[in-house]
Amino acid sequence: MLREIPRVLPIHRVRTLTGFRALRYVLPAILLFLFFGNAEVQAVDEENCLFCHKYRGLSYISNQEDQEEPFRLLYVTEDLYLNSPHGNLKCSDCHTDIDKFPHGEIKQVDCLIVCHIDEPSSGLPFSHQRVEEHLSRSSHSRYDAEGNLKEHQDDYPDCITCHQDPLYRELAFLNENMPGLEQETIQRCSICHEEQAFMRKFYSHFTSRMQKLREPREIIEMCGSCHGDTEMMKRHGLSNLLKSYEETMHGKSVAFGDERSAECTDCHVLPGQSIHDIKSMDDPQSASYTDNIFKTCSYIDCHPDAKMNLAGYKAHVVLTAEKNPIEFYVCCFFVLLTLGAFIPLMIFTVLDMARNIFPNASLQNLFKRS
Amino acid sequence: MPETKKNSISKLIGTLFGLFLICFILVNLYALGTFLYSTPSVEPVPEKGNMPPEKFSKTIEEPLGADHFHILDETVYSDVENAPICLACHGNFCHVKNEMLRSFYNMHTFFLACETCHLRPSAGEKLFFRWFDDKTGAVVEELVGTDGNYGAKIVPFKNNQRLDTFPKEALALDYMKFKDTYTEDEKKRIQGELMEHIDQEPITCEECHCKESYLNYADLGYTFVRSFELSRIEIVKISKEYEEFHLPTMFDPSVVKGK
Repeated sequence: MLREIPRVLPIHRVRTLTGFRALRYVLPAILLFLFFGNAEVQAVDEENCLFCHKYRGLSYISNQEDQEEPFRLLYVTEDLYLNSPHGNLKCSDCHTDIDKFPHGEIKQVDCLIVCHIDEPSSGLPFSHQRVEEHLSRSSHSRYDAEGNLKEHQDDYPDCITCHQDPLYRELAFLNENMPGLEQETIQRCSICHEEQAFMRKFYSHFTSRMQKLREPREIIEMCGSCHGDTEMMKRHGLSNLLKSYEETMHGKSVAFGDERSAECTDCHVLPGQSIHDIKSMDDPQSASYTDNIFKTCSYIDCHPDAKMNLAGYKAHVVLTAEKNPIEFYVCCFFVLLTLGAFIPLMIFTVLDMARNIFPNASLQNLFKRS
Repeated sequence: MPETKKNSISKLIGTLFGLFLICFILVNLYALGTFLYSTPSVEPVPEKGNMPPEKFSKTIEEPLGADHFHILDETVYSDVENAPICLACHGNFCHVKNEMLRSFYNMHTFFLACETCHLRPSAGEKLFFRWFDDKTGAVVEELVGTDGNYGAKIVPFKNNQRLDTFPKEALALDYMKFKDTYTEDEKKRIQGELMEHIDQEPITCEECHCKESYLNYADLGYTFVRSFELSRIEIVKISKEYEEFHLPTMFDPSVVKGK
């Protein structure tokens, strides 16, 4: 049998209460309610958008060739959505212009709108506006200091360039040592609080914020989607910094799965700064500004015992003769030194082995015979 | 054993050991060189040649920043390896024309064979329908999964013969290979020939989602409740009777809660 969500029509109850005549008027309302207010998923999808959007194939490819985004994937995974910080929002809280079926052309979601939820510490309506304020001051803003649009404005990120709807992340580093931590904590919460869903949400939100929402590798991948694009970087007078980062010890250990090694945001955001405040290394407020490098590296989580001369260390050098000639030629020297020492040594060793195996072999005799 | 023989054996063993040591050093040097001088890719990008064509599959394991906000659980379409020949040409998001309903049509391609809708039985003819596994092609008695994502499709059959086999597969493959070299007239002629067995008027939404449904949901394994629901899908009625259906605010939870 198919595993489907059973939804029971409460027809018998309607009959008992109101009689058959009233049923003629009440039944359409019940059916509508089942459609728009499905009981089974009501708690999580009050508007019942998943009535359609739970199906994986609900998508189309536009037949208009000039469309910027020809493929529209309209499927939403309910479980994953619920396990995200936005999981307690209704679809229409963000997709504000959907009020009819078929939905027609809909606007892109504006992440800066004021939500229906209240920010719990102030009681004021919630908005991501403050994030935008930070971003507008950063080097990632598409506006310059005078408020004019920068050149190549489309290259600059907006919210969804870096953010998908994040998932709550388990406290993996603690769970290893304290199995059952989540259950125990929620159990303690339940002494005073009633709703399991609320407690789980609160716990997940808090514990997710105790660590980065993404693994270092994901962050490198995210930043690298622009900073690893050589052409794009050239347009902005920059180099492919992903490549140079990946050649560092930090980059290599992150690539091998190390969670504690420094990724982009560790070094490009000063302690206490918003992660959206990343500034150019020429800006005195930047974490990578020469005078700030010591402070950045000696952060308590990284190299707390570091000395001042660490500030002279270039974290990920672009090895080209034009940009960093000293480093480039030192690197060349060491490569040549390694190969120059190793290759003759190997040739000598192999020839010696050959002589051991064929003690009487002689190329001279071989040529003479032939 | 003579001394000379003994010596040559120990020399040979020494040489072999030396060779092994050289190999060991070379492998280690190679690994060290790779570690030091290569840039390990954070996320290995599959070679383009191994990727399924885009029209076939839209993976949801999109890289971060791929402009899809909601994180999705798995590849949207899974039977790429064993896809019917129709999809090789039309792709699995093949319904394009009807802007109002194309997403719904595409949704059905995940659990209906093309021929379920695009073959209409002639008068007096009776077709039967069963679930068939996408990968193995075996009859599926018990479905696993939810919301149409069963790795199986409803396929019409008659006289124990599946009707979702394309009759002119060789011609279709040839057409796909050489279509750029054909004139418009030739294209039309071959397309006509390829589509000969397909009905111009497919089975409509209302024919399935109605009381006297074209498909027998109970026979296909649906529960009584689900069969009932499928027989009265309101969305079909909305799409057919209204040009625009405005969602009633009386059921809007914010309104209900007085926000």
